[in-house]
Amino acid sequence: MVLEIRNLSFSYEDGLEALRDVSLRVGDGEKVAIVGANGAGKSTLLLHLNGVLEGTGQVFVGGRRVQPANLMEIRRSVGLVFQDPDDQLFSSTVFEDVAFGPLYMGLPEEKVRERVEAALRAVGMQRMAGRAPHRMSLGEKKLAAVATVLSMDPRILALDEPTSGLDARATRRITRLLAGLDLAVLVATHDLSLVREILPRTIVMDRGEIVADGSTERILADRPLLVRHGLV
Amino acid sequence: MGAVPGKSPRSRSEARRLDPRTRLLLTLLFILSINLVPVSEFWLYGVALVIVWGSILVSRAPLVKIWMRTLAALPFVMAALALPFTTPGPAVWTVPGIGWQLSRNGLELFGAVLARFLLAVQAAVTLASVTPAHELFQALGRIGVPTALVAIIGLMYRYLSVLGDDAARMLRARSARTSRAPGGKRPSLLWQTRVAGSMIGSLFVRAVARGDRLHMAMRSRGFDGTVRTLNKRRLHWIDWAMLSVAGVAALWMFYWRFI
Amino acid sequence: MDLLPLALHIPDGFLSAPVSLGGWVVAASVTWLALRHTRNQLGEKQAPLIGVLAAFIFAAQAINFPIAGGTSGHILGAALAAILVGPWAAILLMSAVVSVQGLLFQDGGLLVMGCNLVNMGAFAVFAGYAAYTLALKITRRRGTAAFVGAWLSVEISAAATAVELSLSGTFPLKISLPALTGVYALVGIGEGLVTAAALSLLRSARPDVLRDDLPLPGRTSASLLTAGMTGTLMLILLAPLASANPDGLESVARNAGFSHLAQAPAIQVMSGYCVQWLGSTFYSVIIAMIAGAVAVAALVSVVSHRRIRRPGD
Repeated sequence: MVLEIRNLSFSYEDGLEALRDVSLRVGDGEKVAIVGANGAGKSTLLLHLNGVLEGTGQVFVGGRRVQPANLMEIRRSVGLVFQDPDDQLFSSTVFEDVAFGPLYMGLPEEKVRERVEAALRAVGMQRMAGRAPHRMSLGEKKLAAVATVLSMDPRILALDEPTSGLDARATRRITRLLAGLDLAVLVATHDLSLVREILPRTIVMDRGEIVADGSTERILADRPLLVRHGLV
Repeated sequence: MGAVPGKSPRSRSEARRLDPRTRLLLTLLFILSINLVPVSEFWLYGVALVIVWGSILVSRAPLVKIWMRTLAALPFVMAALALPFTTPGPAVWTVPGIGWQLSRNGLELFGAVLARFLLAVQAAVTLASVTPAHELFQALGRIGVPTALVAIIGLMYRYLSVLGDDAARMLRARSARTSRAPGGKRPSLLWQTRVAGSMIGSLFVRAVARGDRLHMAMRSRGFDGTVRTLNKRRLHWIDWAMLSVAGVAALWMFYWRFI
Repeated sequence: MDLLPLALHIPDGFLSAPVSLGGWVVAASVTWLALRHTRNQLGEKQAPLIGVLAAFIFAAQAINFPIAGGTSGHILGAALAAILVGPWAAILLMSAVVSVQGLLFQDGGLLVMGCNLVNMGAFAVFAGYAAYTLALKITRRRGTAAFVGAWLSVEISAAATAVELSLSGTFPLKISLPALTGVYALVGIGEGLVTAAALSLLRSARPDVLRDDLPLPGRTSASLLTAGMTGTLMLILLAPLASANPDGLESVARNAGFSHLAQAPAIQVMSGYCVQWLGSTFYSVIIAMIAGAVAVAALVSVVSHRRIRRPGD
């Protein structure tokens, strides 16, 4: 068990209730899709995995509860990839961005460099370390964004809309990358073909609640369910 | 800005290059020195010109860019054109009709301001075109600028392209909507400023949201408010040698001018 | 063509070395204070938020609006920044913007950057903020207050530029001051209208981002610094009146050894016609400045009074 969420609820400052009594468990290496219409609470849920947002209820990562005392520990086990890679690539070169996580984990310089190299190799961007993020294509940025959290050697990778806005070729690269990763992967997405292809389990959310959780095959075959929750 | 960092392998030419800190300090010392040149010693501007053009050649800075930028700064020369008339001193010529007097001291001052301005601009363009922006920022941090400010500057530069794209999109949308028929009525200044103000307002909303998301992304990767960097390059002997020469020159100019 | 707003970025060559170094000292101290205050206000959010907002000011300066005769203007943004995020954070926004403009785009010199930072940072921000706060108290209208603050921020910036040019012995104050403040009194109208429009949009679309009901920590010290800096400027500007010598600043500069260039009495500079014309403008500007000083003094008393009443500030 790498992730367990018990009765998580969360409201934004303006009173918007984003999560309502969410409970779920994810096993080691499991690949899970979180689907739902816009505003269903997918992104909000991901932000709770490493304590960026704190709601009521409990979140456990690798058996440790997410709370202020062990946030640093939690944040190295949960790699969060944001929807807009421009939020994630804030340094002047790809190298610096990928090195950021390991650097703040307090690793020595040699280790940091090893981690960066390994992460860039994993996403196939070894030769782009010196590139400036603002000169890269969206597809390259999305891959680099994944590398920025892979370098922290996480146990869970949580991605928000990893394929949105990408052309077919870039989508293929991301899909292949995620399928080949040997860690638990949570993907919040609208891209049902990505779900069908590489994510065997699907969670359906609507208005902050989990309304279905099961095998992707079964859920995607349940057309009335998909229509009811605005997925097709 | 300049070369893409890390694109070229660490070759001999890379090793021969001065540290960004050295380049920055040399440029500052150079501009300080030419500002200390007494107005009467015009030959020193010749020496300075040799130094600037020499470093442009050695650093293989793009000549076209340097001259483009120099010319872009020329409007200030128009302000300096007033100097011969506004500076007290013996008159050498009087404008017929209006009686304005061209003074000798004014002409000298005009020449000095123009020389200092052109030399400084060319030195600054050279610095900026042979040093990638992020190396310049790092250099700032390593010569004593507070690291928090350097981090702010680096993030500003990074998000300038993102918010700049937003701004450019808004400007395009505005020009698409406001193209008027030939002879149509020109929109009033009040209306124009309202449109620009609204664009700036929505840009601010985007910026605040971007700042929040950026903060979340940084925290997710363990950011704790401190600034940490790798890459502690040491100064080479050539850096120290160049800095010493420039420092002595600046001190000498200072001594000459004030003591 | 954006010639006008650029003129506040002084290039290298126009200011003397002592004035440039003096500018650096002031700029460094104000920026250091601003870093400390915003660190207390924002904590670890300081770098990400200030960095992105500085990019916002930079981008906002790219949003131009046509003025008469085929030229276009854009805003400086110091007052807008101060109103939106408070004076200390605004100082950092302007510092980041001005330093990158000089360093990477040669928009303003390197040696004189200290002075540019002071003019477009400290002076513009504090004057704009003080005037906005005061005008808001008096008129209770945010738009009017924003216009006044933005207009004055540009005007003070221009006045400070004129003072530095004259301290350097480049232009006599009685030429540079009316010329710059005159031009920027017009430019400031654009600044004021755009700033007011931006605030009015935010007020109707996103009132949650405008939080001037929550006094930021460091406000009082910011006001005191405002008073100090504006006061200094006033003193320099008033010196000619006090000494009954219309060219007082130049003589101060000469006596201090700043300028060996200002050698002869200004009477010789131009024909009598010009001196008279410039002279009368000069004194009317001085009178306007005195009015400004009174306004700032009033503001400081208001703010300190408020602080006593509400210790929670």
